[in-house]
Amino acid sequence: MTKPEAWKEQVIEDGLRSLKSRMGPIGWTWTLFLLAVIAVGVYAYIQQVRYGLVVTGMNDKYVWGLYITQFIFMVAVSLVAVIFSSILKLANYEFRRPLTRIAEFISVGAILFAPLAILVHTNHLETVFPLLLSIVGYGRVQSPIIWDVLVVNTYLIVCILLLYIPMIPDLAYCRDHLDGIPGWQKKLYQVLSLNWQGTEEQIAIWERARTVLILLLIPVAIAIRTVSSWLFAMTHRPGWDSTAFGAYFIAGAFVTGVASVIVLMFVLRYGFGLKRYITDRHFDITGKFLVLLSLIYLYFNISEFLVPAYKMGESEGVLLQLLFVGEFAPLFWTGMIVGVVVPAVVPIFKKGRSPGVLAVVGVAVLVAHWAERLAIVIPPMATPFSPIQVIPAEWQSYSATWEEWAVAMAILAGGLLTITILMRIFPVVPIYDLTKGAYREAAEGDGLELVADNHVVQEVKDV
Amino acid sequence: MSETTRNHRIFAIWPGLVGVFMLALLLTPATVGAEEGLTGKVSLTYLKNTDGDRELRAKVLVTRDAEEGEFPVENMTVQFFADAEEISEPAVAEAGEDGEDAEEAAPAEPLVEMKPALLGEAVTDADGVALYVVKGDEKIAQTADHMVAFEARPVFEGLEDVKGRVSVQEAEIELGLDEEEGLVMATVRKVSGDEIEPVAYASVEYYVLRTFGDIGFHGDFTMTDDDGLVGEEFPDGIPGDEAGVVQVMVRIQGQEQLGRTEKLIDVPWGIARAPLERDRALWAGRDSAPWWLIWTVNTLLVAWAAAIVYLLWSLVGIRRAGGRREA
Repeated sequence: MTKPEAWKEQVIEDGLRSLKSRMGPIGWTWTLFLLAVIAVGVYAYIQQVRYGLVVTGMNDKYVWGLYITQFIFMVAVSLVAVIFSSILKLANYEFRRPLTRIAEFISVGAILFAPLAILVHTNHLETVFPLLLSIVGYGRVQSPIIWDVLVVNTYLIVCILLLYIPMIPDLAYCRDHLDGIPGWQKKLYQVLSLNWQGTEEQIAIWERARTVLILLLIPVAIAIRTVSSWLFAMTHRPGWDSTAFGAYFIAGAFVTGVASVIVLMFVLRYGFGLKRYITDRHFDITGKFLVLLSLIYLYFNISEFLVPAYKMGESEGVLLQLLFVGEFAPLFWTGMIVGVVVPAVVPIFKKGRSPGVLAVVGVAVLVAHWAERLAIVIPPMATPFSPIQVIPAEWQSYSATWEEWAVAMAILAGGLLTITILMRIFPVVPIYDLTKGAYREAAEGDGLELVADNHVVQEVKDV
Repeated sequence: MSETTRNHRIFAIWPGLVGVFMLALLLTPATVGAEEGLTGKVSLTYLKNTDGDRELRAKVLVTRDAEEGEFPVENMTVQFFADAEEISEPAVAEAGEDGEDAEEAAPAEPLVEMKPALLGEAVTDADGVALYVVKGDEKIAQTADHMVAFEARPVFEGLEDVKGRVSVQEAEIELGLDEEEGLVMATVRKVSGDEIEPVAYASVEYYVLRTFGDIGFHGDFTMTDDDGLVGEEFPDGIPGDEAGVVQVMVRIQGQEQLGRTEKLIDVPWGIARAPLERDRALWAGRDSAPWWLIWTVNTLLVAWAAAIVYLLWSLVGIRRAGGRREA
């Protein structure tokens, strides 16, 4: 057996191992926990349908709350695929190869459930289909909400294709190499692998489709994030009235996305025994990448807050007071320090890029970015440009109810459960891709010079 | 019994089952009122609008023992009443035992009572609200203390005893403009019998009408004087129409006895805005969306859809190529 053949056998063995084994106690505990969160969320949603949106903390003044926060957070997370599967591939960064499937799992899980956050805000889900149909007849093309509906659905389709099309050869490996699995799973691999034999004709069609897909992904991903930001920026409110909101949102989404990949990298490396593919070097490069993205995001934050703070216009001034030293200061500074400064500083140090530390930073960034999104959504509603008169005292502030928390967390749990299920059904590393490119060359041991990821190749050689 | 015969019998049952199902469907709404433990309440409100008509709104909510909360019922008929004088004949005095002639006894006064008289009916909407309008020129009887009373009763099985009442003294608002001082003047009067009297110390609210809600500009203590007169300064910088006209609604509400009343006036002191070019503008209706936007959005959608169709077609191509290899 040649070196590349041995390497291929090794990748197939490692890639399919998690699909052959049964779920362990940690996996079951995690899954049952997610199901319990979803069950509580469903119960809370039933209460909401029964009694109306009055069970939430939203009112005539605070018309948006946790649901919209959850939506923009999950859309942000879903943007990660565009980095690892599209931009880094186009730039020929070979180190991305083992990480693409992780990014695609996260994207699909997040974008499948993000729209649900909007739909539960409409309260009655049974009206959703007629509502979507009514867009054709009554939709106003000038409305950013219409743009959002169109682009979210397009992105959802693209993300599913992005997960599926590159995975077709791997599904053929599953079909051919996995024995002793349930019949439905075998059938699933047979159907989804599309008679993949690895013929030249199939590979040619497949490669063309992948190229189209990664080129398509970039504008659609930028569009979804920009349009989501325009839902805010097109509204006449302090804090949202910014021409740079689209770019600001995209920069933040990239940080959130990379943080989520780091966390899942850690889980897979230690939980699925994939040290061979998710190496210290991957954490090292991803950590540096996180620093770069965080600095860009820091720049946008300074720009977003310094300009209005310099002028201190009437409503903007009140908002900035609320954010910097007022009611929302804990939320705001948590978002800024933990979500922007920490990922920009900690991974600068070598120890900060070690798997354990970086995973902790990743979790902290995700929590802080959630808080930061809440600080983007809620405070501007406290300081509208247009005065709102004669409203009850209890509507002067927003406090999310347990029903809102339960539903919002259930949506998040739904996304996480989807990722968990995908990890149990499909290979978590791209088997075919890991037998190509720099990884194959490294396995052949020809010592090819690679500028960007020489160390990755070296590490593969060492294995 | 052969298999065919049994099948035929099964088919023969179907029309019957469908009939029972249809009958159940038809009977379902009618059985709501017949439920045991059905209670309800009616909230009746009064508003004398700017045209002088009285708007009576009855909100009907029902409660079922089996379920928590109150529910509106759509398409429920509600009858509206106004108290009116009802004159009944006095009892005929009996002749005295001493043979006094009944004709010589003092004639008894006819009895006058205020009893609800039917005005008309209206049907509830999805929120359980029925609206009935009593025209301004329709005379409504007043009680001795110059109040008018209205009543609403749902016509619904199980809710026969449910009714809502409202009793108010009718008021009028007269509006004018003080050009020199820039004040919107309001005079509040109440209708007492055939007389119209000024109302002193009535709180008056001023609102600029806007599409998504009215903007108030009255102070906390904007009250009428002894002559029922009050003036509020019109604020600067309020955008009006192309002539600078702003619609101002003056309201009295939440008073002890006076019914909620409102009156509209056009105030020409707003900022005149430039004529809006509504054709093909971003803020125009759906039919007048800008061409460039329609083209951009549709081009993007078509391009994305074409790429997705290409990808799906590629999947078909991969499958076919694999099939040829197998063959």
